[in-house]
Amino acid sequence: MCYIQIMNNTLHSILQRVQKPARYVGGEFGEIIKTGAEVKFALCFPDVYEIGMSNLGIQILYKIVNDLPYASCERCFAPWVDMAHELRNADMPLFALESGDALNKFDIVGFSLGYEMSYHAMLSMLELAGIEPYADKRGADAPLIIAGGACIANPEPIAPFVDLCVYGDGEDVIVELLDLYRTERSKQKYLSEAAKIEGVYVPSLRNEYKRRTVKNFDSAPFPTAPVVPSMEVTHDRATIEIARGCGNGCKFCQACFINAPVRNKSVDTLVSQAVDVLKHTGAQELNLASLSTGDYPQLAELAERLLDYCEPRHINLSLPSLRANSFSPELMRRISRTRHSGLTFAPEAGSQRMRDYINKNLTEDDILSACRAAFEGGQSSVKLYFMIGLPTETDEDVLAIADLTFAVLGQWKKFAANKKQAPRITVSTACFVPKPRTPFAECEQNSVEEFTRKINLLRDKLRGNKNIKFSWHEPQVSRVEWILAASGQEIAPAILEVARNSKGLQAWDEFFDYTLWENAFQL
Amino acid sequence: MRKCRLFFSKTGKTRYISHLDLMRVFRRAFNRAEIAVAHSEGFNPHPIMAGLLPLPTGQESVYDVLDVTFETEVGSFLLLPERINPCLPQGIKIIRAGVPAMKPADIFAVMSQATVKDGEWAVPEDGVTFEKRTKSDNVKTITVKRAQMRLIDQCTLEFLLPPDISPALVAAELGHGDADIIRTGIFDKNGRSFV
Repeated sequence: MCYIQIMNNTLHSILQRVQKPARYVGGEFGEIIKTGAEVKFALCFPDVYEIGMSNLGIQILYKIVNDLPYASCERCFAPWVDMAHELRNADMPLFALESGDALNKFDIVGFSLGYEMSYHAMLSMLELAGIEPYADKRGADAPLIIAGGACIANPEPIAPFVDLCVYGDGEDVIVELLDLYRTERSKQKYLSEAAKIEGVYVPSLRNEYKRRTVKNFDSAPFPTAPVVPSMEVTHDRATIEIARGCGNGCKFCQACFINAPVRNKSVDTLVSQAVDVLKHTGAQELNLASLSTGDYPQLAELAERLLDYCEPRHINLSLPSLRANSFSPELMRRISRTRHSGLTFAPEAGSQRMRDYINKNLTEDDILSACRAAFEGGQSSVKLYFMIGLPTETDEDVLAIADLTFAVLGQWKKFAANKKQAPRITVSTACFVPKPRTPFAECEQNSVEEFTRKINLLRDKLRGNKNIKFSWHEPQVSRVEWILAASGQEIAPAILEVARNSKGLQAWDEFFDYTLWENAFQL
Repeated sequence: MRKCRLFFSKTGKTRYISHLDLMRVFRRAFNRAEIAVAHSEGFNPHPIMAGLLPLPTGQESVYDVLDVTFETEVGSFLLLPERINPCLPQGIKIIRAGVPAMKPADIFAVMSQATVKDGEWAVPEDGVTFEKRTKSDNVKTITVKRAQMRLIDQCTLEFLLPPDISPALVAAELGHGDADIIRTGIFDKNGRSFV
């Protein structure tokens, strides 16, 4: 029996024992298999398949690399705890889905880092693949380890682990990096050449770098024939990206500052991409991705034209709840026919003072009139997202969240067309995490105790109303997020320590272990 | 609106797709082929389609059955495989489409082959009897006669079992819980292939 056969037999018996084995085999509609490519690239996502396959960036890069005649791109996701355990027991290295090849057989291994809580998962994946996590200890035959994504706004916490990282849009840079690899395979020479590419930071060279933006967003490569998961994933829908960047400049929002300037795709491009991606995926829902869809200049025209395609095919179109006043009543009717998900707002703060301070350009009137329109149209559920612990926050600001919630409920009482269905107002609060490259980057975060006190304050005020459901983000998680987001290289050993001692993915509630982080950080 | 019975195989990597996810895979394939599936009436309409004998995740099959009612006028069922197969992931393949001739209740026996990787099958002459805990926590005694098993070669044993008895369970009872199982046929009580 050949090696491959033994591996497959071992894998098959492992897959009989783990949850959701479809996570680990590939073979989906739209998967691209290229054998014997000159440059083998492994695209890794440090969370499970269902999350990674819902990520548009992964699908974009997968297309771009596979479109290169000389390169192949394969996917690899973090295994769930059961699979990680099985791989270790069987002494089987972590592998990519397309070929089943171990990660250490690739030329370049790239990680998409969008969330600080997945840093440790990147290191676990490297160790599961038998790759040394520290860049300066890796041998010359090890793959190049690269990273990109929103977290590269501050690359220092993970800098000791990567050979290089990319700050900004990845579309053009990835091609330049792969092109360079064809002519320069010596790691030292490769890195010194790569450091000259705009957007590339090579930690071992400590070079100056600038954020990269894709040259022409409208004509940038877009995956209209993405891999379509055979199993249920987090976002089971077709996606088009209507805009990148956001012009609102909310002071807390990292996405705004690391994706500037605002770039909109033309309506023609979007309609054509939407039809292609819907035809290919067979999806029943179309999602318009952007940081602020309500700000897309020709939203009404875009909505009309997309509805022309979606309505007769019973495809749901997710459209934003706000700026509805720019829509005609006829368009509003068409939208409400396809939308099932209810209204969602992110006022971020309860008081107008705080909203003004953080630059959130939204008045109570905006929210209440949009709620009124929705309630008059027969809807009864609204989701409201807030943050607590923003700089300068007082208890009055916290309690104003409850006041706004009661005002929304008041709109229902006054205007609801369908009083038979009880209203459901969902209030979710996140704990503010000061993020690098934002005006609040240098702010101190509230302590875990202070967050807890404020959450209890708000909970007491909202308590007893059965139409209001209050949920909050765990302060301890936010604390760890902040330390990981704001630290320098000194934090790297702590991340590795967590990777080695974590029982599972720390981004998942069931595995989050604050004591483990406290010990690693030596708090 | 016409009811159609699709006979398909589910092999290779697609064996790991769960039954629920398989229904999603088919729904998307029908959408790609621009064939609309009829929906039930009522507050929460759902597509009218049903897999007749859900395959346990991890098992292969070359005889799987899906009943589906189309809203679109699809013309001759003979042409359906050609139209839908390019819209399915590799490993799921419609072999034949036709008007349902038998009722699901007519299903009497399922044929499967179990292959072991190392070792060989030892089949007791008087068959095998074992107890199985049911969902309601009762214990049920299951007997598989020697005549229901046929050695194809040392590594592969063929079972002919009632639809409610899992071949994996019988294989485990015979000491090969990790056998590779593929369903090869479905029959009515007269031994005719289920159509």
